Amino acid sequence: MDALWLIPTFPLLGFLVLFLSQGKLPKVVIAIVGAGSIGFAAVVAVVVGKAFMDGGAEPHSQQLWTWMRVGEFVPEIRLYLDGLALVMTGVITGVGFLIHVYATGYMWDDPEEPEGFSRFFAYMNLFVFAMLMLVLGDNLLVLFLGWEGVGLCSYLLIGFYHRDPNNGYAARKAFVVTRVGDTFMALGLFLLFRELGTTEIQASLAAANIAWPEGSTMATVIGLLFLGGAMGKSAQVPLQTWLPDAMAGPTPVSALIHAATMVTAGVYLIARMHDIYLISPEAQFWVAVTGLVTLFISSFTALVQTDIKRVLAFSTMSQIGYMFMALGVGAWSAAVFHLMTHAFFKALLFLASGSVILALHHEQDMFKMGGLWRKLPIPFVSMLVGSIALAALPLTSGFFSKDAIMLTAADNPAAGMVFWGGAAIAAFMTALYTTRMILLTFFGEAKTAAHDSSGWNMNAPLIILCGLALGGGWFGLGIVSGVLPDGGITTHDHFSPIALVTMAMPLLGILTGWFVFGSARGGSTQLPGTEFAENVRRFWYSGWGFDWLYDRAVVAPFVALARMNKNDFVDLAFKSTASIARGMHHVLAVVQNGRLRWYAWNMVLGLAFVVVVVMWEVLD
Amino acid sequence: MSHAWVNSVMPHIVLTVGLMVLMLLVAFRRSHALAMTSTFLILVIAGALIPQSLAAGSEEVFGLIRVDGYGQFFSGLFLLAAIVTVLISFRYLDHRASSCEEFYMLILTATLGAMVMAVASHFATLILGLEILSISLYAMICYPQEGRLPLEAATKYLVLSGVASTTMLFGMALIYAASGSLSFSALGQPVDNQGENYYWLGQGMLIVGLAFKLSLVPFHMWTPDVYQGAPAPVTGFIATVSKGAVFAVLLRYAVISDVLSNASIALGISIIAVGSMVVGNLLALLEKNIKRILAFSSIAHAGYLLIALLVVAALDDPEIARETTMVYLAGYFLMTLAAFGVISALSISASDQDTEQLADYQGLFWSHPVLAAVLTAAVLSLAGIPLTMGFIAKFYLFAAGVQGALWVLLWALVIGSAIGIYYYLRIVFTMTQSESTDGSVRATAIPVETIVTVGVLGVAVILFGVYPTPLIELVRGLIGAFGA
Repeated sequence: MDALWLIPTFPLLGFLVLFLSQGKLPKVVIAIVGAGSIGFAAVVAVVVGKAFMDGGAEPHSQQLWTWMRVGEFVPEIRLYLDGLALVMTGVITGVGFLIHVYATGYMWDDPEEPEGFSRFFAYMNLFVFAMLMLVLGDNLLVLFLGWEGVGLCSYLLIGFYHRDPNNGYAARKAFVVTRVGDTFMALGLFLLFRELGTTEIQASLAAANIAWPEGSTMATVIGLLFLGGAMGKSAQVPLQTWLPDAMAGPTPVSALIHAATMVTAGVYLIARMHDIYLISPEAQFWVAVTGLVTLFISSFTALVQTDIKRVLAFSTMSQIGYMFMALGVGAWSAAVFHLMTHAFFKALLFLASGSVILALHHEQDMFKMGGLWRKLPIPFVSMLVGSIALAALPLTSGFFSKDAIMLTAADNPAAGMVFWGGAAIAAFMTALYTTRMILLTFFGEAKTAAHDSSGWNMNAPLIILCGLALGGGWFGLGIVSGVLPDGGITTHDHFSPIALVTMAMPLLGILTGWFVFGSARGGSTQLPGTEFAENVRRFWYSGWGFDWLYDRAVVAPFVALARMNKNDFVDLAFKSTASIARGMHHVLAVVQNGRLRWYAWNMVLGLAFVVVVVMWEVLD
Repeated sequence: MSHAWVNSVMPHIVLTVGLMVLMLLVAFRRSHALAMTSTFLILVIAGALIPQSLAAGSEEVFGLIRVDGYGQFFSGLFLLAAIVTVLISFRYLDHRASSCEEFYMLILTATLGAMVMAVASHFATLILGLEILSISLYAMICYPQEGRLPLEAATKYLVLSGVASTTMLFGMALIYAASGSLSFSALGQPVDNQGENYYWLGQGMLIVGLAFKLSLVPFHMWTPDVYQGAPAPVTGFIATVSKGAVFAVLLRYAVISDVLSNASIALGISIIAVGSMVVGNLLALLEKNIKRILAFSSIAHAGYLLIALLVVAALDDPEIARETTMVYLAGYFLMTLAAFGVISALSISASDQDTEQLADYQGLFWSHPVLAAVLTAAVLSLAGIPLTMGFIAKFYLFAAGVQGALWVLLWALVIGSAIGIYYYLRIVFTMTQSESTDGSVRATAIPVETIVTVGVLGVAVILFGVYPTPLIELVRGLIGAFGA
């Protein structure tokens, strides 16, 4: 257990080595340092995890040092391990390690950034470090440090291919939009500190339970502010628009940051602070609504995308929507369970799509793919396995988690049927767009020549993730139930009508997909070619017009305002401050003329001044 | 009857004896390396004896000096600064003077003077220490034989410092006339009305003298010229040891004699403080010579530090003032020495003037990354950016000022710091720009001992910024266990 601090230390060391060597190491060494640091962290995580389970799953905290001591404010840098943190750590180091290994192959001969191999792994290691601090920190300040750290790494990696200005734009968009969420988060944090006088997570939750009665307004406000932060990080409506553009980054980045780990930080935050939401059911209800809206909207959007990574991006938003809904309806551990299974199958899907993209020389348009299943057998099987887990076919990992979420949602007293109904439609859509993606990519006639160049370091992670995506559901989440209030266990009988419909939805979706897209042989995705259908397609394609809306409602007025204020009247104050300072500098500089007699004369004047001040009262 | 006092002043004795040994050594065998090494050893031995000198607790010796935790903390700091100066001077002096050995004797005498001031509790020891220190400095400033700037700087410093010393001595005479005592602790209230006038006039003149040494406005004008003209290692020594010693004795004097309880004196010092903070930073604003920038910045820093002094009267609690001063000066020593260490290192092969133009530092990050990193740490720390020692130091001042409700001074501190950011960051910015065409700086080979010295200082600046607890514990321990 005392080795806990080693888990984030290894990635940090990896980052430092790669960053300080400035890419001067041989490529093989970079690959070994980059992936090995995460590998060591994963090994330590397993050892620590075993000790944790042997010790009866008692929460364990390890103090590293005290940051500063200012009166009552004594923030300590302390790590805290409980079931929830352990699951997150396992996902981050385990899945993270597989993705790093895969990336050693994927990034090896990168045509766009041949010099960037070391930089890539430096950022990735820094990301893993920041993410681990986020989940292991026992203090909201440490959590926030990790929170901002992963945001920074996300920005750096989305813009990794920095020669194309569009990628820089995508990176900035991700940064700015999540920054809106971060602001809410910071406000929530400040408010929490003001009200409870501590930023330590466990202490503040304990204090909150005593200080605030059920339904307390303060809990609602703080809960909603944290929800705002989670929305930004986890790409939930209305702060979701950055995630599809974030696909500009290399595919392993999308797998690690924008599917498996960082985007689930919002889920972690709410699960970690769940006491606040138990005090305020109102805030919790809005968590569920956020999740429902997101999962519904993005599952439709995913259906009409043409870029394979954007399909997966919208699918990620939608799956995180399920997690938010789970948190909102009180299926706490089911949400974390889904977080874990989603990390498995979505990382698998991204990595498999990465193999496809690499084989087609960075072609991402599904309409230019097709017929690849013979040529790329391992990516094909991986994609298939990932897809059935995503669609939640029975006995796959996704099934267990999603089933638990939907059945618990149906029990919700406030709006159970709405939650369940929306989720069921989305489940149908999930199966539908997944089928479409598989059919377009791997079946039909081949449109682009493929060269499978992936070695063992790319295939082995795929195979291991296949196993996890299929069997990950059997882990169960016993350890989390000690931390979170329930086991996410629903009262529904598995053969009740609702349960049966829930189970049938994905199958129905796959069949529909097979008929609609299978017969078209991948040629066209258009729904029957009426004008109305085309308009609907466009609307869905654009992500329900959020970008359009924000461009007009936020960006355009802001730019107009900035234009109007081109000379910046606010700046006048600063500019005049600066020019006053400059002016005074020039005046004073004249005095500094280097003449000894002038200096001596000034000393005499100074002496006279001091004597006058001192003697004034005495002589008066 | 024990001879505990011998133990107490053992570091001073070691320096004195070491000085004589060094003199004999030089007489018999001239060797720059030998002189440097023996000086280094003498300083280290003196430093190693400091804990022992405190073993008996605080000790009053002959009514002239008072060896306590507060004083010996500064003695340690001065020795540290002297060691750094020795290390960075070694190669620097090589081609600047025909015989370098005597320079080390001057360092020893100057350090001895500063250490005497740190424990002085009597006007006699104060003035003795101050003059030992100052006279050594005059010679150190003009030690290099090339160029006219060192000589000019030494002359200016000599004349103006002479004026200041005279003023101070006159002040002391007036105080003696009025109170009949020269010991800090025995300074009684003046006897009659006539005496009262002399007494406060004397106090004012004393403060003027000390303010000159601290380069406070309006007695600051010598600072940039002397900083620029003196060889860089000596500038670093003046900036730290000379000012540190003066401030250490000023605070001790203020606490014991309670001079600040006079509202007029406190007002005068407040005006000087605000003036120093504002004028110092404004003067540095567009300066293009890095040594002059640091000179102006030192004016401002001396102004900041006066807050700690004024807290004594405002709070009637010398503990906070002592702790703040000790932490602040420790930080100031580290960052200032780091900055001048880098300048010395880059000036090793420069001829007439040091490498001191800001333009020379363009692209330093690419040609000398370690030096650039240390200089960055040092100036960020001087600016008081968080995670550096300078932030902790400034935070201490701020906290002390808030407790003492010195609002005007705090506002000046904030405004001064804000102006300061501009010129501090300009140094960092210049270093990150692409390399200049002039290759002289790039080609300078930096000796190992210099790299290690400035590297350690740079790391210390960051380390104490992130984790200041050991330093704070040390300071509290010294104040608590050994009194003042």
